Amino acid sequence: MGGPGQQTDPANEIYTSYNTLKKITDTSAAKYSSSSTTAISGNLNGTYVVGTVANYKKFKTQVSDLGLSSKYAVSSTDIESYERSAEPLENLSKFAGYFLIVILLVGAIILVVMNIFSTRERKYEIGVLSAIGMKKSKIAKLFMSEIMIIALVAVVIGGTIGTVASVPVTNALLSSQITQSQTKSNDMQQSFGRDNNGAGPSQPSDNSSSSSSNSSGSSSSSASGNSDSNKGAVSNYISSVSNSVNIIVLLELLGSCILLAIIAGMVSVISIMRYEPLQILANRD
Amino acid sequence: MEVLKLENLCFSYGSKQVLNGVNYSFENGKIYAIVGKSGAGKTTLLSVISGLVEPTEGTIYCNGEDMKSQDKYEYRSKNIGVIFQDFNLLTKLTAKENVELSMEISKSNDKQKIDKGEIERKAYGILDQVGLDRDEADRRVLKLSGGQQQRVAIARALSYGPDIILADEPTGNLDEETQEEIMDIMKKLAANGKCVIIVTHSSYVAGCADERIELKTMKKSTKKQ
Repeated sequence: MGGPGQQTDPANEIYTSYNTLKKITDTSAAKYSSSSTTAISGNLNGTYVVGTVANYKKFKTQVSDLGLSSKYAVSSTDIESYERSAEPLENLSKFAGYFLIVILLVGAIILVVMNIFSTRERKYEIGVLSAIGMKKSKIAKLFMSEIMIIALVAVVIGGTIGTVASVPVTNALLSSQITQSQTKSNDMQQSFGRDNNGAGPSQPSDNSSSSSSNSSGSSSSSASGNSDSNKGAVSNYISSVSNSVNIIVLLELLGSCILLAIIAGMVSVISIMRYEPLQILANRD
Repeated sequence: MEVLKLENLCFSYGSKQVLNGVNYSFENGKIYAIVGKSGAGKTTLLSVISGLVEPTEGTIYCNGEDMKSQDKYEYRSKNIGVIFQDFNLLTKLTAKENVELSMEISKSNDKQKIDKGEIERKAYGILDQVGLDRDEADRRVLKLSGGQQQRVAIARALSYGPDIILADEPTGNLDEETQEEIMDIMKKLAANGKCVIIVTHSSYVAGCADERIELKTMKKSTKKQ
């Protein structure tokens, strides 16, 4: 449906069919110059039901490829609403990602340092094994296997605790994120009468899966009343998760752990290769 | 029969020459005592023979084969059994486990199949030969006396059946009675065809040897029968 008229005041809007609108705007454009302010402008909206996010993305690409004017915008209120509702979860995910990087770096440093001390403490053992004929490469393999076994035990224990604790911990953190987002939104509303998404007071969201194209005609103002009302539907944040550890996460955990174990193990291997049994046994004290 | 031959053996720590052209032949079935003043290079000679350090010059022939042509780890776990002055046992393990470990290393270097049951039986047998019963064999090394630890070290050196036994001051930390017991074991080993080379300061140990070698001069003096 389309409607010509003043866009900022809904009372001035007239809703009519596409054919009528086209006829009116074409006639007006033929009579007046298209740049003239006296020409009647139209605001054309189309609603399409696409079903899935993938279809929506495909649709967006297709209409753009087919030459949709830049004056038109393709948007989905459902997806926008979902994205806004997932904002605290996304923030939490980002925070967890950074935290993980820090933990991995600190963990790697601690593991390497601990391994240096542990190898030094076991210097005598290395000396004896080498003196009675064990090849250094075998001693290195022995140490590496020990580190790997410890790493695997740590993965099993850590993975189990993580799986059990992740949901309540995530929900607790998510709840704090939501409170933070709501406080921020309220502050914005109190200060500027709108939140940081440009939305007015909260309104219930339209949950239908749809896409729409908005025409601003010759006017530069593109936001429609309908679009605004949907942007206001921010209050329905995702407030809980039912599952935050899956096989991919566990495999990532295993991979990181093995990587850290290899890095730490290499320190032992380098030390073992440099040790001379006679020197170790001679400097036993 | 000659089992070990040293030919023009030299060793130096930096600019300090410790061994200077040592030539000697060792036969099986005999006990050799290497004596000399402190710093004469006795322990260094033992380390060179055991393959723990490489000579700066010269050649060591073990059973006619140049040591350089052998893998030093295989050589240490097959041809030579070393009894260290401080025993150098793995203190977290039991006496039996120390002996088993040595056998496993030797078999592994030789790419032989490791039969845990057989190794355990042999370990108990060897420990029994050196005078340690099952109860003592199953004790952690730290809970054994000095004499018992020395016996474990001897058992470990014997575990893979080497032809040559090298012992660095094997009675250094022991009382007279235990010294005699240890030397009895050494005599039995020589009687069984092993070549036993002992580095010592003790005149008692040197007196038990078939040949006494003064390191500075490498002068040989044979025991009067």
